[in-house]
Amino acid sequence: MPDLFEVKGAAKVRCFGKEAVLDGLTQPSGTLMGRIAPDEVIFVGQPGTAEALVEDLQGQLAPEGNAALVVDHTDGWTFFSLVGEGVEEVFAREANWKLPESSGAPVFTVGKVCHVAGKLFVRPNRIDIMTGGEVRAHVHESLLHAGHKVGMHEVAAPAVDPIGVGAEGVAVS
Amino acid sequence: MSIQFEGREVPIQPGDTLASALYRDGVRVFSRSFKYHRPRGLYCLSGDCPNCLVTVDGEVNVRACMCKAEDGQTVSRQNAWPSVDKDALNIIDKGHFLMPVGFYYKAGIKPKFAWPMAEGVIRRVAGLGFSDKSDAPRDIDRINRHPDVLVIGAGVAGLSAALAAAEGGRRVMVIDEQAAPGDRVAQGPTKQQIDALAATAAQNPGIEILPGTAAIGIYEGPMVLALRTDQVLHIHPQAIVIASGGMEIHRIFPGNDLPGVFMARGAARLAGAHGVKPGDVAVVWAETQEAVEHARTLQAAGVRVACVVTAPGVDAQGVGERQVEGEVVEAKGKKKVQGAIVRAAGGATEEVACDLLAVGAEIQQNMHLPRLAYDLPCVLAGDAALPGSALDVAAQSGTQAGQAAAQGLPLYVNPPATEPRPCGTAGYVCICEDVSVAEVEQAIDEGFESAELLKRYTTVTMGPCQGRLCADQLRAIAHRKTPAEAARVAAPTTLRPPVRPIKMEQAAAGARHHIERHTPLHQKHLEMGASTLWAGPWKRIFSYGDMQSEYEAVRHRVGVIDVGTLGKFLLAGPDVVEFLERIYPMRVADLEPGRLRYGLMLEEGGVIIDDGTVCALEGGAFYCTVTTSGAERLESWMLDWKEAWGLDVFVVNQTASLAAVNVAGPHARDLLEKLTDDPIDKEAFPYLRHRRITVNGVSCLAIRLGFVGELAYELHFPAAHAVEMWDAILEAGKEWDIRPFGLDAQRLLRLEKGHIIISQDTDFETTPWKVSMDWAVKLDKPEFVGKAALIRAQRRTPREMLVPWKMDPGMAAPPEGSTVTIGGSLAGRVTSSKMSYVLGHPVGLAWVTSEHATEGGTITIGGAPATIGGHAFYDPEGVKLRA
Repeated sequence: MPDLFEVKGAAKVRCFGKEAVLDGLTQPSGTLMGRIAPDEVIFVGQPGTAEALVEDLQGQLAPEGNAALVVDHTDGWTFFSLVGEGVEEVFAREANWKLPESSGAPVFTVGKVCHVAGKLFVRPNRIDIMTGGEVRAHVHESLLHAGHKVGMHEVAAPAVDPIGVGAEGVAVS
Repeated sequence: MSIQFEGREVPIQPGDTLASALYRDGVRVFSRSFKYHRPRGLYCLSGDCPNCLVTVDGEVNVRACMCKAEDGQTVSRQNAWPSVDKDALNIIDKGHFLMPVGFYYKAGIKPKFAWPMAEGVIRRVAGLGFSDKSDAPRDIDRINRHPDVLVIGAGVAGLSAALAAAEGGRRVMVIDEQAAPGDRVAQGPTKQQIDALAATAAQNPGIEILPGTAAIGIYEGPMVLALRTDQVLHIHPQAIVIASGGMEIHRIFPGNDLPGVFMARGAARLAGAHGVKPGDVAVVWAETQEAVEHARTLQAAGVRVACVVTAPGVDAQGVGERQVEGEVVEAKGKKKVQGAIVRAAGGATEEVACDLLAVGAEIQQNMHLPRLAYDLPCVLAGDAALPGSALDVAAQSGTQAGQAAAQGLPLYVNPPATEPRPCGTAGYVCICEDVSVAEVEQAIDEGFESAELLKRYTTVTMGPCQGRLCADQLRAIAHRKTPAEAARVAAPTTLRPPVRPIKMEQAAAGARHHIERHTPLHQKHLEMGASTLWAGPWKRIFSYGDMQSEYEAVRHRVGVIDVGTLGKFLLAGPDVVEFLERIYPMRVADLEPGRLRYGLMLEEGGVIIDDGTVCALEGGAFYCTVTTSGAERLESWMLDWKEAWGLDVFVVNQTASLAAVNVAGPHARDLLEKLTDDPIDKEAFPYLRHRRITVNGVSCLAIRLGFVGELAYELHFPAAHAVEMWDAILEAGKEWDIRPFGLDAQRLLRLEKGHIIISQDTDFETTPWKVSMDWAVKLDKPEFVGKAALIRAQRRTPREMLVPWKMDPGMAAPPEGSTVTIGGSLAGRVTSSKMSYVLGHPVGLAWVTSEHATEGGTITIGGAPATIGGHAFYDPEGVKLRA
């Protein structure tokens, strides 16, 4: 049965710039990375790491001047994690699109979840869902409702490595 | 094991449906018809007709032939008084002349009080059961599924298709309405083949079989909607194979609705699958060879088959006591079948005594689902493609369909409509709605010639069968009555999902509540006793309980409002100035860092779609706000323009990541000075400027604005600090008896200043010219969205203008939406209206015809005089907000 938890304060930093420039970014260790658009990439880090992430990425993009932008979006999006066997069953009740398959490394994708825009990291037996903070209560309630049908439990986020990247971090998806 | 049926216990056997159990127990009349309360018995046993709808455990209109009998169920029949067996309301059947087709359009119109009375009676005696409104709707689960290939129907063709598609490497889902593949098929070659195919499919890991799953609609995508017990499936396959079979044509002849008249498949199902004799003596009308097999099944079950009436070419040798080539022209009997009138091919007629008439008519395609699959990747198989096909043909067509589905299907094209088959001249066309041939013909005589109009007027095809039984017959009658215009009158009627009746709780599956957007302070407001209202997609605070005290705090002391719902955008990039110059009608390029400007947003037609502020930041970036309901829409709008213009600009929606509060009132500065060490006095931080200051230890973008007409600071800061900031402001403001204020107070405050609210005071034709905001438009700019349209609009005098108005003290504020008249003629409407506490009289905004929209002019609102004002009634010079 899957578990649900919210990683409060997970660092979320958005970078904007030319496609080739973003392609050349070095993924900071201990982060998840998702390509939202050719000119936008997001890095998600452990809670409390936003400032360092911003600094790192601003440093990498400094040569671009005003042709690149780094924005701390930590407070803008929620980060809910569905973990364990059966997470797809929860997802199937709250999204009408097919999850991409992951062989192990996180796959980043975007689409509506719980009727609102979502950004997701998909791994075997784990789905991390980011949605706008203004709909946090709705998304939380919807996931709980969907999960209730498959015996899901809500638990506290792990104290260590709540975003599930391990000590070494994970490969770019 | 048993069920409770109308006060008595009825034993059930394994594999029983409610219909088979009740029939075995002697129940012959399962329902009373919708309108005339005619007795109705089992007919199709495939879930297609309305005859066996019963109430099960309080749930109305359950198809007894499709519902598995389970120990302890409570079952009752419906739509009769005092009972279905002895229904006094059957007297209506004697009064057809009182209720001709469409009578509700003709009767009870005069006197006026008659119809409401008649309607109450009609509603009481018509209809199908009474639902228990005290039952809370169940929470029906909605689940999305994504197989490669979806096969609808687990018969010979469907299972063959599934195996072929799986062999082609596709993940296949098979759905079927029956409790198990072949569940309702009588023992015989068909059943044996289905069992064998189902066993093979069950071993195939690429095939998932979902029995008890009814497809009720096919939509773009493709997406197939399917119902299960307590679940609604949204299935999103890449290809669809429809193998939902065919059904015997509903034959029309006098007495065709009597209990004891069965479709032959239904009778055989009852006998062969459930071991229940549908009658003792049968006449079987066999238009197909398949129907002859059904006669054999009945014989094997112990039914005496007195006569098999065959169509030309059908061989019934050795089946039944005798065989007659011809047709059945009438079922005799009053409350049940007692005989059949058979007309031989030579024309001679005879009555054959029987208590069962099994009509094995020609097989027709079940076209409901295919007709919804038009232009989608779909293919038909089995009876759905070749009605009445032999087993090997059905299997072959299924295999071919499965192979095609595995390779990628072409789009399904609805075949052109064929001429309807002729139908009988007397009898019931529609047994759902109780409409006879004579009534359809009467409707045609009244001028409703085409099938589509007849459908609406007579309600034929609109009952529980959704036209399965009667759609072609309706076309046939229209064709027969107006043969010269057959193409027009006999065209197929429009078919829409759901193809099976569904419950409201199923229609609502997955939709539980509105999506509410909340600011990070929402819970805090609720804890303070705030009431809320919808503002676009947001739930905003209306009031904290005392609007007047909230208002007075702002006007005389200090107040604070949560404006976190404002759309907030960071715009940056090499082309950002060019982009903003094109997005906004005012000038942006000359905005120096630290300055801000009010800006309208227009669509290409020059109509105002939003407004807000533009702040020039250090480093060439800009921070823009838009209205509460505008963020998401304007983000897309700006990104569209960015793409269209090919400009190198970044549009970052920060609505949710930043909280915002507005501290407003004469003591706003005094309050903030307690929370910041940064200079915020008039000289250091004047009106229409913004600064980054630290408030309560949090870095904020502070903006000096004046929507409410007082000294005000709008603070924008990371959302995570919202609650602590709010608490700190309220604590610091205690010295001035600070009040949080909601939209109700804010709307009065802004109205006294004459400020508009986009979409409340504007509409889809409002240009800046009409709201006297020429100052916000710079037509000498090279380009901006809406410029060309505004230039054209400028050449014309607007039909109406938005103007501020006031009434004399002592008058009540008129309701918003009130009409404006001048000299007794309609001259406009009120968009905003409130009683001003500080001015002591009502103020508002109204659309008024241009020739009357002059300052000092008099208008009449709701019968009371009002005077058109200038820009603002409160502090027109803006001294207070510049303080």
